[in-house]
Amino acid sequence: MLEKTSSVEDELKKIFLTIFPDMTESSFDWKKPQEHYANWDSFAQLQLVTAVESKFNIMTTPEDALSIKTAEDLLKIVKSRI
Amino acid sequence: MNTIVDYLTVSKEKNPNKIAVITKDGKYDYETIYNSVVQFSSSLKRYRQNSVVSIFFDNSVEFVISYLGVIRAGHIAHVISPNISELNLNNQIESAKPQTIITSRDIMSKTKTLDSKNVELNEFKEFMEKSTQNDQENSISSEYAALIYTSGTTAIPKGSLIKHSNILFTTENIVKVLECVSDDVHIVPLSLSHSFGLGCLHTSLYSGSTIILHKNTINPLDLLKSINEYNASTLAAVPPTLAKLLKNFRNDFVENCKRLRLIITNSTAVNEQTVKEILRLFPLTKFATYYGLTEASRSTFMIFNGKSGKENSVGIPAPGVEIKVVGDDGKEAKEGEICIRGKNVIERYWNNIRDKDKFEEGWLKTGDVGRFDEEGYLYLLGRKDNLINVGGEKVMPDEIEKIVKSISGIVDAVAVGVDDELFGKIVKMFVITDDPKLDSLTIMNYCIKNLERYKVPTKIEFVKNLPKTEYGKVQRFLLR
Repeated sequence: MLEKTSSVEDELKKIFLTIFPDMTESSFDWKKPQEHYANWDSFAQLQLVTAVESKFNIMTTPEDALSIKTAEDLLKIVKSRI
Repeated sequence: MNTIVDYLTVSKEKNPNKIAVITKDGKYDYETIYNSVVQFSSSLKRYRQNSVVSIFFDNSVEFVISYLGVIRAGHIAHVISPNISELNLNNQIESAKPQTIITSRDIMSKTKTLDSKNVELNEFKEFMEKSTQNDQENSISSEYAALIYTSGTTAIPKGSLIKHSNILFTTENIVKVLECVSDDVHIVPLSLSHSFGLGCLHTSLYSGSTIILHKNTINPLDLLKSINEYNASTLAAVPPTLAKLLKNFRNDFVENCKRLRLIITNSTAVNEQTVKEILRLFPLTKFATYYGLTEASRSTFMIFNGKSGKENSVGIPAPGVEIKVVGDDGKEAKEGEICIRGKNVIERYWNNIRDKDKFEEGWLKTGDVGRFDEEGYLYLLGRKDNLINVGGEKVMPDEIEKIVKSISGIVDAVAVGVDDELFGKIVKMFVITDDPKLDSLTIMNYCIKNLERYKVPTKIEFVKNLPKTEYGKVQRFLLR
């Protein structure tokens, strides 16, 4: 279980680093709010959601998408669906 | 001179024993072709003037004789691609309502699903045997020469009704711009059922030269061998053929083609790298492309030699052809729909399908989006129908596809717009890869670095094949 959780976090971090290529591994912060990202706009939001859906084979709702303000928020949604 | 057959007649009178057509089955001089055309056309005179006669052949001398015979008899030649799907064949026959379909024995089997329709089928050789040989009298020409369907990339097939005057105007332009002469020997590995290949046949007949026909599905080594064997002077090939020759047969390509005076390709995305490579490898050869549609053949010409920096252009308007770029408001714009006016443009579609959408005050609205540079060179940006509106931002799939195709391991890629609750449309990418390790995040990451955020494909699907027409164009409507 521990291994699976760790893997989810790694994979989600990888998704964030893909969608925000200006961000480095060391500057990644689970609690960093959306407004502190340079490019976290509605397109990035969509890309985050569809990327996790595809990666973890889960479905999210429009309400989920609206509630995501940090990487941690998205992690919680992913964990609640897998 | 009223029809392309008149040029055949002149060439036959000037030089009857000159070889006009070479195929894998033999060599045919102008006199033989002319006599066969006369014989063939005599059997068609039983049909009323201006009838549609369908011709259904692979590249062959039978195609040439039938096509010219139909025109000489005063009928309209409905040209069918040998690679046509069953469904499309049925649709075209339903629409064209030909008096007869003339075909060869090896293609005859493809017509079996047409039995239920009231259409007469004739095998070429049997049809010729029924003909009389002494009919030297020309028929009164139909105003129209050919009917070619431009089906496939959209759901509705449209028949382009091509006049003799369209053909002669375009052929004169090709001869003038590409400096074609009677000494030319043209190598044509292109289907004659397509406007590109058919235009090469017209050019060869017009200038009294020799055309060597290869089947559409080419063997590159056979092709290169025949260039050498016949001391060919021109090669007409689609960009994928040139890319394949460069990639897999580079030394043979250079060795056999270095004496060509001309390599001509067409506008379907001739790759910048291919242009540069060909110019470098063949310094003595003119390398050209054109932009045209079945509805407006050879509307521009581009000769790449000495035009560094314009490798992505399709050139300048052909002599006597006007081109404008129009925005959504119908006014001329920097970037927008390409509209064409000139004697190369058809007047109408068969049965007047879509005439109202496509023609306006003599201008053909092509549906292609483009822009001119400050020197008047035209650049194609994509298809208007394919434009994806992502939350109000207009996205051309071609731009995204170009970026994705530049990723190592991508064999082919197509972007389409799919419905999205929030944005209206979002970009979905269909990808063929030969690298099993390549994943969607890698593609997305590359796109994020190279494209504006709204152009980045949100959904990426790996597929084994993409739906394509018999001419190799992607059928996007099947992916949306």
